[in-house]
Amino acid sequence: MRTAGLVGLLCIFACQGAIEDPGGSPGAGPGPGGRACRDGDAVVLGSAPMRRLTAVEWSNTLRDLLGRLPPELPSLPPDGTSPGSFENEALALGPSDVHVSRWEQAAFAAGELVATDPTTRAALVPCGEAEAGCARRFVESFGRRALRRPLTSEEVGRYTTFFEAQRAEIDFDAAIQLTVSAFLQSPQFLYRLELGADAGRGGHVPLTPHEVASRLSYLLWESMPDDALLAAADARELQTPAQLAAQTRRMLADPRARAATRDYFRQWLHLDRVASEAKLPEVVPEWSPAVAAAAREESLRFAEHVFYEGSLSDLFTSRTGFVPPELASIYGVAPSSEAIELPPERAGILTRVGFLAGEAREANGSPPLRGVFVLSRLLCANIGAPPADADTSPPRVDETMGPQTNRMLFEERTSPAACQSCHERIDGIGFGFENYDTAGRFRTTDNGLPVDAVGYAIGIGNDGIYDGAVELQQLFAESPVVHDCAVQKYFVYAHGRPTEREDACHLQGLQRAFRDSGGDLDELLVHMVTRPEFLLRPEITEGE
Amino acid sequence: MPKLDRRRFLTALGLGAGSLYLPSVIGRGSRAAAQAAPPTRIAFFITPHGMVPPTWQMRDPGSLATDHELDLRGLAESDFSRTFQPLHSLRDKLLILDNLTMATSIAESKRVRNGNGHDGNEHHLGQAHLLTSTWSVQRSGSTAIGGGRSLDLTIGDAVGVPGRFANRIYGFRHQHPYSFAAANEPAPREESPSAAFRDLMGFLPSGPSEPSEPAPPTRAERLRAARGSVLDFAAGEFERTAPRLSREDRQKLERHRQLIRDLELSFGGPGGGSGPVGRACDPNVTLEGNALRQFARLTALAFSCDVTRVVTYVTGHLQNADFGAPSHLNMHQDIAHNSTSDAGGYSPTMAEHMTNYNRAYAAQFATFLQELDSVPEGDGTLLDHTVVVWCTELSTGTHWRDRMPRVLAGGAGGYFRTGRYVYYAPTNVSPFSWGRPTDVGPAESHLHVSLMHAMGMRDRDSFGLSQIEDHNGATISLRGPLPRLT
Repeated sequence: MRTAGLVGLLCIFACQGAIEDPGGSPGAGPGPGGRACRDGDAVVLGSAPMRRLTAVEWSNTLRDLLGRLPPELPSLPPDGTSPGSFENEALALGPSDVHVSRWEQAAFAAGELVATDPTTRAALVPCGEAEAGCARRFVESFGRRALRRPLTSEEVGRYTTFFEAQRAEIDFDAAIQLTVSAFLQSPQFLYRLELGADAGRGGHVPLTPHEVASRLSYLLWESMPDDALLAAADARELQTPAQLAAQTRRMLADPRARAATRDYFRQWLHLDRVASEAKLPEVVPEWSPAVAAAAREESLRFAEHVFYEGSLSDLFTSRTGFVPPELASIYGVAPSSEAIELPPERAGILTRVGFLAGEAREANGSPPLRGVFVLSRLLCANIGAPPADADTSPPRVDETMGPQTNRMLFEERTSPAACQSCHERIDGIGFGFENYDTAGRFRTTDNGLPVDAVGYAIGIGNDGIYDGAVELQQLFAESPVVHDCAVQKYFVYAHGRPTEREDACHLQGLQRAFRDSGGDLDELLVHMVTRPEFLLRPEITEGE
Repeated sequence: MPKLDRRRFLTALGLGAGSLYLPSVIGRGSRAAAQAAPPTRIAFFITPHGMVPPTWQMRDPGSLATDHELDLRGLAESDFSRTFQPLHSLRDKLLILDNLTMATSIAESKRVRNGNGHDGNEHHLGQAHLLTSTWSVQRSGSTAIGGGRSLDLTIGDAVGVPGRFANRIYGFRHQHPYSFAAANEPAPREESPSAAFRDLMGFLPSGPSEPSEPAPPTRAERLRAARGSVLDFAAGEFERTAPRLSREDRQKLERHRQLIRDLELSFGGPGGGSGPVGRACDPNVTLEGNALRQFARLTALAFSCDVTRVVTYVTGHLQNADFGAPSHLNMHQDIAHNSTSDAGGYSPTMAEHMTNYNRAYAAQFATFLQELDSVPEGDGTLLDHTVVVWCTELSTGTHWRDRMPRVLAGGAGGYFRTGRYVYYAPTNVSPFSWGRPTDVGPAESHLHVSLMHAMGMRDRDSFGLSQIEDHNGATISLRGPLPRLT
């Protein structure tokens, strides 16, 4: 009980009311998790903040616009330097002097590529120097793809005038280079401006077809629309649910969707964490950065597989694995780049090394870290931060007490009643992973004692007792809270902002559709884009 | 002064990461133009986790109720506190402040404890408030993060030279960011010295200033000059996007447009990047050694060449071996959290490790200062015309935020009286303490005002929140500079 004194006192302050109901959203008062939706058929819009392209989106967009990335491309500062949000959180994405300077360098390099690389130039410059009207034709064709919509006649005029001025000042090739550079520094390229088709009615502004096309492409691809999607927008064929569903299914089959899906799971399931985890060599001699990177990749590959081939339940129950050589001994199977069936103790993503070794300390697995992961990422429970001055160091074996398991040490640590107000729920899940050590290796004994991985899961809708992570995940596979939370997370990612009170009906509609589909993840995206809200943004009121 | 394109110049020199050597390409006598007094600069040097009060403080334990100070200049190394001994050789240029309070952060602790569902973690609040001194943004399902434009960027806004960088943020990632462009919007930080160097390149003098016979510009030079025209055009596009966006979005685009205008100046626009550089500016710099030394050199380079006047350096994490602790201990969980006597798991061994940890950072700080002090400028050194502020986001590894350790170094051009250790007697009841009122020293917000004044921003009398409530609900004013510094 060496930690009880001060920590116990502080728990009183920190834990009271710290865990909200699933779906709760402290920034917006009563959350959308089941309270505020009175009329399920009403279309109520949450905010739609302007979205700056993320570093990933910007790079993807340049690649797709030019056909390849320019050489010597400067790297942008990373986005999402804060935990707990997705990297595309609109309010956190702004301009900075570093960004503006690097965008400028990149735009100049991109212009050079278009002007001087024969393949790129042939693809993007539709005419030769001697042809009349070439400047205008180039501005129209390149501009439509760079700004992701046809240019207005004023814009064509401005860019063409700029082109001709540079041509007169330097030469034709310089005009190409500098005009490309101008497009790539315009707000319409760097941001997704949803100005709307007209002034709007009843608080709703309908998006233009091209704005809808960008919503689709950045959601599904983290990149610009392709020619087929732009053509559909030109033809106003992005209006009906059938049209939108067909585009979405077409786009989901593209490799860009697979990359974007992996990027979503990387952020949702915190899979970067394992890649930077170190383990004590005396405990895990075989751990290395290569093993850590392989663990991240294995989880991503599994998640991608489940997204396309299965359902949310499969994420928690499937034994399918793609086993890189670095993980073969941990899983006790031969390496395989093809899908194979893993041993029974590896059912579900929470029995894989990516999660288990990521949410762990250097020497031991951490039930609190693992439990908090599940609460915050899979149950959307808003957990208060650890109490002030709480002893959150890994507990150590007291030699005078005789052998103790990791679980026994943590149980002693969090035994004060005040701590239990949070830890009952955190540890009720976290102890379920005690069959897996700090590196995710399966074990049935710990420090010479049998592992106890029995727990009682609270707040998942189908609360119950379980023994071990496989049974725990079976509960998750059937949990309505887990299903609703999966939709909420995707919703936050799709909108680039936290949920708001106004989202209640929208979100509940999606959650209902998701459950009705049996938790089909790629179908969730079809549901999202075929709702009326996908074609609208809220009206900006004067003075706002 | 003609300049090479940054990227081409680097390529031509074959420079890579790691050790960068830029041969001097300047006829040094060619730019001996008379200079005005050197500008005043400011740097923030941020280390994590706080310190161990008994091993950094040098206060007189018999006079805690009264203000008092020590003359550092007369002290032997053994008279210095153990934590600050590595700074002894620089004692003439130090101003050590004892007993400041991160009052706004503590006030937020009280505020969030009174409500539900907010992030009340003291560590997060310390990080959010360190350079913002205002209510954090409490984000849904997430952690508290800075709630306003931070002090370093605010000072950069006021003192930056148009067309140069208003500020630079270098170094590494602690748990959360400290510098913010706006609420909830972390300012980018550069981790790579070579990338940071590339950013400075285009602003450094790189050729004879007055060729005897101006040659007609080459195509490459005309292209480069046209980059300013592109920026001018792009800024124009930003001016056309205003309608039908929310106020926040319009403000973001306006900020972007202004940044483009600033960058345009660096390509030779009016009054811009080709202005006079400091006499001490010598781009003949070798970047080698560890990241700290490289970033210290870059800071000295950027300051002496007046590319920026504000640098924030976020220190890298120490390895246990750097301060003699066994490798199995976790710096955050094992050492910091158990390093003061009020901790549940307190152990004198952990306090000792924590002291050694901060001694190692003190040595880093000394290195940083020595780089600036090694550049002669005017009648002194670059350090004399700079104020470097060593700050931590907590006062102790156990998350206290009163008794903040603060060391100012350099006099900001004579603004601060250095060579002193200044103790502030308690002035306020704490805005919040663990159920019991505690007397605490003056709010750090006053130091922020003093720093702005030192940088010429004399019309400012507050930064961030201008007042908070104390434990009893009485108003604590955060206006006005900190006394006894000048």
